[in-house]
Amino acid sequence: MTAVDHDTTCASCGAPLSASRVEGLCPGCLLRAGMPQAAEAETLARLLPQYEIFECIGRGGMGAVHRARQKSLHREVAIKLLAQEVVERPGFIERFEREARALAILNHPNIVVVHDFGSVEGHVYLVMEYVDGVNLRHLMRQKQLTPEQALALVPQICEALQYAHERGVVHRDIKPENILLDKDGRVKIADFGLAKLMNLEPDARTLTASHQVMGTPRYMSPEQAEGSPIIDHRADIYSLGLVFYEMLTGELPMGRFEPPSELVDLDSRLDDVVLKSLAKSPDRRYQHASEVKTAIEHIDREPPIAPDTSGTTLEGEEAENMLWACLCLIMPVLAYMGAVWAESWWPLAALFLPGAGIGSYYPSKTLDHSAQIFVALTFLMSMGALIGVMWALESASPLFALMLFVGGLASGSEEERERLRKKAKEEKKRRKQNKERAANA
Amino acid sequence: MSTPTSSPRDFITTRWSLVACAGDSSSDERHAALAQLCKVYWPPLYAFARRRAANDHEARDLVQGFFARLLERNDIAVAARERGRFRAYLITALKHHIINAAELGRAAKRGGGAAPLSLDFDDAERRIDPSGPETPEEIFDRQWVVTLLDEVFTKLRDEFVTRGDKHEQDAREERFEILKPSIAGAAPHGSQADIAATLGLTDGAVRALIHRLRARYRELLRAEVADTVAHPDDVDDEIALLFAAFRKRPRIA
Ligand SMILES: [Zn+2]
Repeated sequence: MTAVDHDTTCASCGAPLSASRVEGLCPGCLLRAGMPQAAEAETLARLLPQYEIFECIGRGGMGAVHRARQKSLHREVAIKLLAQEVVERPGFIERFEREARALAILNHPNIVVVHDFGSVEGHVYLVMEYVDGVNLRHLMRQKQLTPEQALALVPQICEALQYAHERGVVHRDIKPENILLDKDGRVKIADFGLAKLMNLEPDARTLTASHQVMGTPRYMSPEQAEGSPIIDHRADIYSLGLVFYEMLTGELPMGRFEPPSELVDLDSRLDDVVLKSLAKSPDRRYQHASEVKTAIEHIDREPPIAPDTSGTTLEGEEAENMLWACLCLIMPVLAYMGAVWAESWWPLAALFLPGAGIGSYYPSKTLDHSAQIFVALTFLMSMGALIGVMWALESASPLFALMLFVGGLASGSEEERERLRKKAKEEKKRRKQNKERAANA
Repeated sequence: MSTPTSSPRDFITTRWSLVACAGDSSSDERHAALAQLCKVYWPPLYAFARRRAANDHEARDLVQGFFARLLERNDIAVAARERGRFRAYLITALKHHIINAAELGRAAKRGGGAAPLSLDFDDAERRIDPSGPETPEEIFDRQWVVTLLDEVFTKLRDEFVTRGDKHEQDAREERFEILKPSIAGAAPHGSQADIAATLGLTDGAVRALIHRLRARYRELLRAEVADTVAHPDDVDDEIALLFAAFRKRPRIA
């Protein structure tokens, strides 16, 4: 640090010391002592002698965060020294002490623990759990986040939010910078409730350039941005929606935006979750963070109805349906003709069963009008084939014929097709709605 | 000229901004400010020239010739505005001067024989290693840092010591020497207690003393750096740049 040997580098700052020294001291360390960060670290070291203060690991509108070691417990911590301009507001320290207590009781694996807090000589600090890892912003910037990983992270964020919300604590500043990931990939949300404490939410009148740096208007719910006096936990759900959207697509939804699945290869049902979280009115959002989690997990469990076809055109889909329908039409006809023409009706007639099944099932997945006609035709032909077989059968067991008939019926049952048709319709409707909703938001 | 000692935010006119912003000051003021700056920051120039020149005499001539030309130029404000920092301006101007001098011969190097500034070259010569592994630019930056910090320490010591009678001044001088190492970094474990014992003060008093000394050091350093940049907002940047330049390890040839 200060006592140095000749011809070495400084152990503290890494500067070479061979020839140049000032007053016997390391010039690198002396320069560093002149940086503003040094002033903060020094203030911390003086105010909190029970901690060994290390480097600055973060800086924002709320103040600077330093890594430190609690000497008594040999525990690594992160100490946040709140920005002086905020602390000096009248009544801040009283309010801080009152509200920090509510933050310190939050004890959840996905929330950064507040170990201690206090004020010394007009400075206000928070001692928090040190998270050895990265934040979400960092991950996104390095393009290291796949939609699959994003889907794995969001439920953890939801759990943390739900836990805090149940205890009456609203985060109010959910953004990628506040979502940390430790070395095991576990989510840790930092700065719960601090935004309110720091009063960083600008109302419309005071939204200035400097505020935009300080607060995080980009991730604010509409009610926060408008300076509404009533901000509840649903503001967090909106911000979560923004973060979720950004995690999936790499960009923030601004103005008229596309549903996520229009931008990246995604299960389009996720659009529902994202867009519902982003509803302008809090009443139309999910009402609890846990519901977001449930929705995502539901999608995860249930396979998608249709593979994402954003790449293929509708014409392609139609053509495919036609082809299938034709095939299915031909098969029973062949079966029928074969059965009549040859006495060896056996293997040919058996063909009509899968033919009828596929013919009536497959096109109904993405039913459009022409396919529906073909399905109906197919079904009729199958019935004809069946009757023909029964007629040719004569001496064979009528029970066997009956089984064939019932099997054909079941595979192409109107009920099953109705169910699938309904599902497909819903899917179409939802896609349309999502597009509209996104455009309106 | 008095030294600005308040925090850099409080004053707008730094020496380099005086030089660079022609509209706001008379040419006499500009000239005085530039001469003052040169008087402080010539050692890095000498260190650079020493690497480029054949011997120390040639380096001395180059530096004196450079200052002679620099101080008689009238277009300095324009040139200075184009380069935000005094440091960058100086090194570029010196490089040009060295090239010109090589073309024009020895007389031009000397600038016609006049020595505009009286400079202690012998001292500068002792402080540099003309055959080290650093590039001339690296030497220039290092010498710059050393010069800057020397200047700051001279002022800091003066302020700390110059109080009371001779006897008290001696005592304060001694105290300054003991406290000085704490400026460079957080004191190692237990050393504050040692200082307290040596000075016969309580731990708390020593902590407060060190804190004040460091705070004052920081103010002086920042004011000094502010003098060499065009805008006070550039101070943080310049310190960070100097820090990075200083830490760059010399390449082993
Ligand atoms: Zn050092």
